[in-house]
Amino acid sequence: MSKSNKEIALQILNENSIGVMATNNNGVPNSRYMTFDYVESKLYTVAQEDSEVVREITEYGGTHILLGYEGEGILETFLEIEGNAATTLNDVVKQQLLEKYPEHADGNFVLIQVTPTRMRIMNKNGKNQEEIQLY
Amino acid sequence: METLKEKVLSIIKDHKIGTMATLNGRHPYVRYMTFTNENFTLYATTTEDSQKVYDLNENPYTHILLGYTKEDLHAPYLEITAKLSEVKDDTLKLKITNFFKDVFTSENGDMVTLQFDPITIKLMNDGEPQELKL
Repeated sequence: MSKSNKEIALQILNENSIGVMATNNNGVPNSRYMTFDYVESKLYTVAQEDSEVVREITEYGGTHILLGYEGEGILETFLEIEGNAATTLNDVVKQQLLEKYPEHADGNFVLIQVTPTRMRIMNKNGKNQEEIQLY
Repeated sequence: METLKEKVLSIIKDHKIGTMATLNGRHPYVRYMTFTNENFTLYATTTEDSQKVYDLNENPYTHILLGYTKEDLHAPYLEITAKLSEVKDDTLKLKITNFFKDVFTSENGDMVTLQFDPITIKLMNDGEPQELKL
């Protein structure tokens, strides 16, 4: 039986850790590759406390994330996630991420939490997009 | 020894697919795009009535990531801040249109060619980030 789009979306969220996160830098778009972890319907990533991304989301939390692309030249299935980003003190998740990425234990890292507000799944060449309602 | 300009150009030449972020009002949006180039100037094509054309007409600034691959996480890539401008040269326009004709086989709607003049290009993943101002 083939997987539903919802199942594929959950698989991407749970397995594809590197994505592109776009933010608003004072009226100019900005973006960067980041590593995401999906925990209890939210995406988490870590960044240096004094980084651009932390400053930008503090000024405006709206963000757009692409997750799930694999391979140069081949557009595989991926998610477009709109959400609100904020720094957070979730000690349980922070502890999990520090165990996974021990290099972040030293230095002033903060946890960024992204609450998805809209999610769309895109297939090859960006056509046939479909809204995903996870909950 | 390759100069920063040479390194940047070779990444632009070798990678046609990147991501392009725009602002819609205050809200950022990002999508995959195919690019071609003339030196440091990037070109893309899209349908005239698309969301990104609307966004860029309201706010011409864009941020492009080019050259990152999951096959080689340590390969250098580029972070480009650029501004939309018009393609002025007809010969160039034809060349770009023909390039994209070969890339996209299906035509849907009126296509427009977008020109992006880079403002800053950051070379990432090649030691400390290095910035090229244009």
